Amino acid sequence: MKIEVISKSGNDLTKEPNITKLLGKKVLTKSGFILGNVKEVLFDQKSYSIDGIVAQKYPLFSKKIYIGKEYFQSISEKAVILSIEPAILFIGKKVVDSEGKVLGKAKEIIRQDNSNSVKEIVVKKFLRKSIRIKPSDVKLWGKSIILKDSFGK
Amino acid sequence: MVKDKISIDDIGELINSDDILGKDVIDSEGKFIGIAESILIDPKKFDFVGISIDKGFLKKGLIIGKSYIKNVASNAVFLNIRPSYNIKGMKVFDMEGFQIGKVKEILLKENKNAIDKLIISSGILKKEIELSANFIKSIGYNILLNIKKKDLA
Repeated sequence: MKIEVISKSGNDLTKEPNITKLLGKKVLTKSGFILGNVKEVLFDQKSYSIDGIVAQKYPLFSKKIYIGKEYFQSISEKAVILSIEPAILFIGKKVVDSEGKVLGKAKEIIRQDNSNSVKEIVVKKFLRKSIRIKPSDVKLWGKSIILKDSFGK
Repeated sequence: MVKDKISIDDIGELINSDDILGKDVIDSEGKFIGIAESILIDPKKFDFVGISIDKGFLKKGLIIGKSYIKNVASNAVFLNIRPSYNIKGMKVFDMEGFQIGKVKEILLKENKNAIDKLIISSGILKKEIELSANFIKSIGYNILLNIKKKDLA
């Protein structure tokens, strides 16, 4: 059935992604990690533009994550793909120095307010005191966190 | 104790098998891929050609050529690649985030680490799709393509 359009915008609104279809769709990080499904789409009350989404992995047991639209790489009716690797995903990863020594696991990622910029990584190893590492000492944020040669020198 | 040397070559800074064997092997993405199990030597030239890696109980081993070894550190062996075989089983998403399937097989260019094609198993019927490496946008936790599913055929 043909849809009548009432809008000042020159865009073909019938071809814009339908937000209701987005609910329940996957949220992928930059590296393709499935962060969860779109639980909610949040709008700015004044501009009516999308402000962000709330993603959740499992409906009952997992934490909800709010992602601001500034971190969207693309949005379609199939999925939301982010332009970042959310820093919180590095919690629990091994932290390894340049000699391959495992210093422990990232217990906490301290960020600049709510942004994705990391201020400090708190690393803990069993029966050891926790250590704090600056992001400038990190060479690689990957399957583990690998530190630069300069760390500790 | 200083050892005597008998060689016509200048023996500089060397490492021995103990410096490699039993160490963790970490790929360029920071993933711990296994333990250095043996050192491979060319029987004619007596050159070190690579290492074999034990990936764990019931897992297929892996041989890595020396050109893919970045450095041998005191606690680990670092590679300068992410072994392409490790992407088997990863999910494949098109550029809109639609899940096309899972990597069933990887076809490499000769024995090098460069991917030539991927065989993707798709849908309930496990239909196989052959995908050229040109369509791969990024490989991280999963694989993101630079093409829409409908344009793949």
